[in-house]
Amino acid sequence: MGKIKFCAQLGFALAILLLLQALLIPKYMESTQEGALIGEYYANAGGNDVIFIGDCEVYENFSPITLWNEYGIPSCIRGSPQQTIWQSYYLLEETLRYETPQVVVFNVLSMKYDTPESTGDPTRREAYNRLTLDSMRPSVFKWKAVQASLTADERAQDAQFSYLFPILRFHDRWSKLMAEDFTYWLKKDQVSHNGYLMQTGIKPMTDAHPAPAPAGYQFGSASWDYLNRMERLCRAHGIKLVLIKAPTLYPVWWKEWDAQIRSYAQEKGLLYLNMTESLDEIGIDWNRDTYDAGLHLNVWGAEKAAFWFGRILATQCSLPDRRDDDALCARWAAKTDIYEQQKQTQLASAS
Amino acid sequence: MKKICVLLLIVCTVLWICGCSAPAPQPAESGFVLTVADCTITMGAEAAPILAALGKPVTVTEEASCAFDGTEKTYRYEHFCLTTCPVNGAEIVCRVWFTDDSLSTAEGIRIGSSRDAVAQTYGGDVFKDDGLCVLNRGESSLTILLTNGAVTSVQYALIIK
Repeated sequence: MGKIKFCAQLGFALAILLLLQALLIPKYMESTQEGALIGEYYANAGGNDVIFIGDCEVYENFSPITLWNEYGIPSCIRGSPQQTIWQSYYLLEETLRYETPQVVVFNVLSMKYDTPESTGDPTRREAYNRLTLDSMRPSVFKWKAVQASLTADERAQDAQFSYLFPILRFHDRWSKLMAEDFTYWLKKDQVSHNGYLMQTGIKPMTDAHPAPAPAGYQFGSASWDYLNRMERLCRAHGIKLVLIKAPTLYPVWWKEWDAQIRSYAQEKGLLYLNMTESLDEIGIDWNRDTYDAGLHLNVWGAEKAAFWFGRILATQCSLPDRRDDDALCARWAAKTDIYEQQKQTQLASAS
Repeated sequence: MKKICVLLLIVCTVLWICGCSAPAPQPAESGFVLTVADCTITMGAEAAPILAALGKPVTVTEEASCAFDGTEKTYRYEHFCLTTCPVNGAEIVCRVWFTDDSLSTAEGIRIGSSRDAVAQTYGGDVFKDDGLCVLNRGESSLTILLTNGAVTSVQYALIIK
């Protein structure tokens, strides 16, 4: 009887703690919606022929709805802001627990960062880590991703445990709670479309973004290590790995970087598409298809990019058209309705 | 006797505390200073007066972060570019780089200068490799890139800690 009472009390204390944690952690529903993307995958897991992995250049620039409606290719994007290649690798490992796609598409821009410190401001790095890692489900893959991602400051503070128990990190948010925290305390809304974060704004690119040359063009050894791991993992599972550079103008994708990836792809027999070389063919109009002057595409640009890329997936990767599958059709019809509805809503609120 | 001992103890304690006090703060090492058309530019300085002194730029472009508020702005002038970053609500200078050989560092190095000139000016031990020279001074860094023995890029940057 004593043991039962103790267990009940412990369970009750744990429940209170979890409720408190759920209240204190950022919700990413109204502000910084990018933080919700990784966690939304689990509701969309399974039945995807294509998984995109990478940074904002994947979740801003490709519409899975277009891939389905034009080519019958079901896909999901596991992207997050400034996702590093080690995070991409462990996210891919985790994804393979849920499904085995036919194709994994990896955006190679993140090869330029080979350590957490190389990404710049450590405070900002920790914030980006949170956006990627906090909504990963607890697993050995999450633990490894956390270990690889820690900045020197985080390591000195044993911050890895705060990624398993976020209340350790966000306990002082109690004084900064907003209405959003209470509205989404126990339930979340969907913010993305199979990982695609819709933008309907238009901000034309009027001037080129100048950029200084990097200190060195050679990708670091850690970047190559994780790319090799990704390639081996895909090969072991019979998955075609496709490397892409998304069709954006900034950050600069230097020709010296492009040459390294091109050479690697040739050596490994991989398809590599530098989409910055196909902007005219894709049909990108920099006066209309970008919401931030050329850094990312808006929904019209993302649909064009998906349309162009989908043709390659269908032909060069031999992906089948799944629109003869009634269950998939019904599922994607519902997704399309939500997508088109949000497009109209965003346009209406902007006008 | 007892009072003398107590007094001595107090004096010793005070002397010990003074001895353990933090050393007088040393003035921070001043960083790299660039002068363009009588305008002095230092990394980390508030951008507004510098931008006002430099006059109208050729172009201004903005680079928002992937997810957060705050935008870096790059001002392109005839011979150089200057990038500002938002820090604590203020726009500060965080990067400057030359775009042609019209400007030189305070020590006289410009795009086109030879590797030997760089070594003579800053010392041979500043080279990370044949193509890269990095110097840190205060809160700023000076990066000089070389190709085939000649300077191709000169960049100042704020060191973010």
